[in-house]
Amino acid sequence: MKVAQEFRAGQVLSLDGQAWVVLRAEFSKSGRNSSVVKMKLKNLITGSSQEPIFKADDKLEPILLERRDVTYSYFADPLYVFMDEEFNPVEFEKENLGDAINYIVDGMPDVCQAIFYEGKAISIELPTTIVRTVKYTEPSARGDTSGKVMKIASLESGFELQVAAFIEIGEAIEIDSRTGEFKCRAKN
Amino acid sequence: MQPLNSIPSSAPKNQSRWHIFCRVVDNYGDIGVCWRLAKQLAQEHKIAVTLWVDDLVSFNAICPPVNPRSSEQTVVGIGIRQWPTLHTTFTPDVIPDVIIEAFACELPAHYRLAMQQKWQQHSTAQLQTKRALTTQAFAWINLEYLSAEPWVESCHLSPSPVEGMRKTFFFPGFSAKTGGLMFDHTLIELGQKLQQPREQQAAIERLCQRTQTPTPPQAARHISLFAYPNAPIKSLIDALMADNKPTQLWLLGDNLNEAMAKLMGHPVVSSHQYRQGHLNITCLPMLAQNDYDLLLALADFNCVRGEESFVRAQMLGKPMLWHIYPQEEHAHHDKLDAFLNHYCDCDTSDNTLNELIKQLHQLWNGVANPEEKIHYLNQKPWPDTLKLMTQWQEHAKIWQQKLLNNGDLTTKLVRFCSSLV
Repeated sequence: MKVAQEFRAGQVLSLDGQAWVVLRAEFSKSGRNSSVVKMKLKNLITGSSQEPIFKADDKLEPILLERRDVTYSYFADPLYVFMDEEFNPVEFEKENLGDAINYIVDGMPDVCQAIFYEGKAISIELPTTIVRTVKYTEPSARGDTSGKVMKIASLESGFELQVAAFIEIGEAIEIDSRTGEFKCRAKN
Repeated sequence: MQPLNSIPSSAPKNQSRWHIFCRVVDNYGDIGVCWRLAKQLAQEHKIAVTLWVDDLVSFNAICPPVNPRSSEQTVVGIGIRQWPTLHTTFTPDVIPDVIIEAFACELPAHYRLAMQQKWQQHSTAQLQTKRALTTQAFAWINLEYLSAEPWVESCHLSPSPVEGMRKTFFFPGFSAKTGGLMFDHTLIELGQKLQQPREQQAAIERLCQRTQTPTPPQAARHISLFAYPNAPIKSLIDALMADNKPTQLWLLGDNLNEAMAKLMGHPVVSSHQYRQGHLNITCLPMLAQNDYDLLLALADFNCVRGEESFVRAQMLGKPMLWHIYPQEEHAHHDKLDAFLNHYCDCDTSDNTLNELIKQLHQLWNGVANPEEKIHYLNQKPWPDTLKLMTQWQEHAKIWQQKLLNNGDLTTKLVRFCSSLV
């Protein structure tokens, strides 16, 4: 057991027999040296959320999740199938992929992390930086190479994001998978 | 100890039953708040209340009818019980409609077990009727400390899942988005009544009689002084002694007697009075809650401390100076600032007064850094304060009205709990 004030965003705890990931934990000093922690939690199974409050020294049960390296293999409607290092298939429904769905393309080389709760794959984490090819964007304005002017580009997955104005169709770009933001033109 | 499942049945069947749990950590603030809550619930909302207290001696100090040696008694219609021992038996039937855990005091484990059983019984019964879970078996409330900080609004009424049950955090506060402050209209009426000089004098005589203290000479100004031992009372005493207006200073608490004795150079004892020029000082013994209300209502200016007297003084609509409970890492400085922002924001027409109120509070609470402190002392905030007392009085009335508009804590609490069960 851990006390409430020890939990940080990204950690998972058990409440009422269900697993909840901490999205936010805010600590406030109450009165006479006691404190409270207000959390935003997301249910790992249902995706529902709640914002409970705890005394800072309330004991909560942490959940250590199993993680495994996987790579994307193929789409078998409606499941997205990844393979682990021993070529065991790991299947995800679309809603469990979260924002990662925006970057799923055939032949993607990224080594991802599949996260398991009680043997079930519940979410996937991409590497922080991923490289994807621009499928379409408007032609760039001549001479603008500063990177400060942005324009919309779409990826093979159909996902649209803002990229530097000098990026052209067919170019590979680096994207921050946590925020979905363009970082730079990919190096080679 | 007998099983307790007979206690709640004494209440009429449709009468709401509440249990309030109070641990006395230090001083009298915890039990003071809980006792006021219990009385207001019973008298204004006709609720059957049982108050569980771990320190009946402290309780007796603020409410003399409480017998500190009796583990089970009734005072003004409220059941009072000594904090449960391990031998106290609890069954689900004992668990009332509402449980108040005051100031995050931990409920006894065996009581919580009975709560869990009742919660499960209720959930099962609702599931069997194949209806949605629309009500809770009981409302479990953590009545929190008072703070003016912004985070309180987002935490007020937040749920807290505990052992399969749901507790709710209820925060008092100064805005409409919080639980408000605890007050009853008898206090407001008392304050209005004692604005009449004859009524004020009668109240002074009543207070002196009850406390076996000599009646002080007529004074143009009455000040009550209740503070923690580190309050810089010398600056106040110096200003009052130098002022031409005859002032009556009512001193509460043995800790201040010691500080006063150092200032005066001779012993100071309770129930005696001491004269220094235009200043008459009366050292009062420990006051019962009702008598302290009387003192706050008759005084023109109240120096208060902690939470309980702080709220009472504001609700009386009189100028007051707050000595805040000191916390680790100076957390109380932020809380003081947050309060002053609210308090001074209610009437921004007089910036001189607002600035003075802030400076005086910072000086009184030792907030200012050493250089600033000298700056404040050079400005002599107390003489300036005494000059601006009429303006402060008007300011306090505006603040009082704002708080009244927010509604009282007890009524808000009753309404919220009624929505749960």
